[in-house]
Amino acid sequence: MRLQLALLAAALTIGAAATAAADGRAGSWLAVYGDDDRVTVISPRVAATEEVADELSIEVGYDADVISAASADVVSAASRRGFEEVRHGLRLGAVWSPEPGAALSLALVGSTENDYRSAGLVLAAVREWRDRRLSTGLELRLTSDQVGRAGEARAHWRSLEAAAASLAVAWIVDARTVADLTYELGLARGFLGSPYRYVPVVWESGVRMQVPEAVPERRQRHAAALGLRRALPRALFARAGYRLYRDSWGIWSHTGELEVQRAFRHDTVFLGTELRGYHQSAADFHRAAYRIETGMLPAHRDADKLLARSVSLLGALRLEVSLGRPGPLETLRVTAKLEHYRQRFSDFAALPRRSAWVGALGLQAEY
Amino acid sequence: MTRLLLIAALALGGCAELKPWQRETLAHPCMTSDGREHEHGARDHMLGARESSQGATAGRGGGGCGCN
Repeated sequence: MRLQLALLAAALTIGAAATAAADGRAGSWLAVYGDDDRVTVISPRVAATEEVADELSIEVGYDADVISAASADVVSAASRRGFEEVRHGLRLGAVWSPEPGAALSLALVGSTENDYRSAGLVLAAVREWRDRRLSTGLELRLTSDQVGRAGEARAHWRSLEAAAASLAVAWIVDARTVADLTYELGLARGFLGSPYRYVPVVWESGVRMQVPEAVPERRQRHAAALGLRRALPRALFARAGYRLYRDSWGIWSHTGELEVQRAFRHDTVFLGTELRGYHQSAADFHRAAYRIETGMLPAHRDADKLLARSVSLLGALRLEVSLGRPGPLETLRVTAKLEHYRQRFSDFAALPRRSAWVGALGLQAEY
Repeated sequence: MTRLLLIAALALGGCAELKPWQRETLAHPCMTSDGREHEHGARDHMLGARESSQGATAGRGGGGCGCN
């Protein structure tokens, strides 16, 4: 079943990029993730944008995750045998561009899987200023989700509402350099934990047991990122970025990214490499295990790796080739990418470290 | 956060004057994120399930400033 879905996804991926019609573009991305914790995820994405009037275009996109997990962590938290499941996501949107350098967009997004449903709205506005030397982007995302356990009656599912607003500014520093600044505020209210996770507790009497995770029902997130893109001599291009994050659960994180690309053969072949480093502190209430001395369970308790202190490194190699103008297409580009991701957790004995590979293939066509 | 905004404000004051032909370099595919939405979306989705922080990933840069 998983193989059939993957083949179907691959067929959709190739088909969407090869579709030819009036002015528009189509793209696809097929990624395969595998780690040493016996988790495999096959993730196809396809999307197409079609210009339906001078100032109006519509877009439609589909993505999926075909997940197979048998990790020690997942088996202990979710089921004895691990699981296989599929997530489907859909996006329908419209973009209105009343004048060059200005665009308003609206998109409906949704996804479904056996223990999670999500529906949302994304509003975005982009405007260029000062002779196109400065651009600003505003985005507002609203989502309403339902969270449950696989096989559990829907009446027992819990809700999660979230809103995020971001402001992005990009400006030309000089003829070879562009700078970016982004700030995002996120607010969430509702069930923010996982119904599968349990926390080890040790009572004063010495009795050990597992109790359900309980996290705060509100979370406020702040993230700010600063980026720099620069054209270097010898057809080299560099992109560097830093992101600072903090939230109301006490998590701070720092992310650094660097990408270098080189163009070959009159800008038809691009070879690039990426490096990303990430550090995250633990949530205030996170513990590997809770020792109960007051006779009361703490209101907020979590022992999962997601809220633990962690460090990760990601390295990638990327190759993009332009295939010119085959048939009725204006452009056709193929991208191949290989990523290696390593993560190390503190206070999470079930999985102190994780190593993963991600292979991906993308197609982009304009017609 | 205030420092970042201050740096941005100072830098904006120095937004460079450019001739149309000077924009060629800035419009190079390696200087924009055009056509890489799937790639970045897939990466953010993968990391979002494995790291706790979210948001402001658009800071990797793309579009605007006449680069498109």
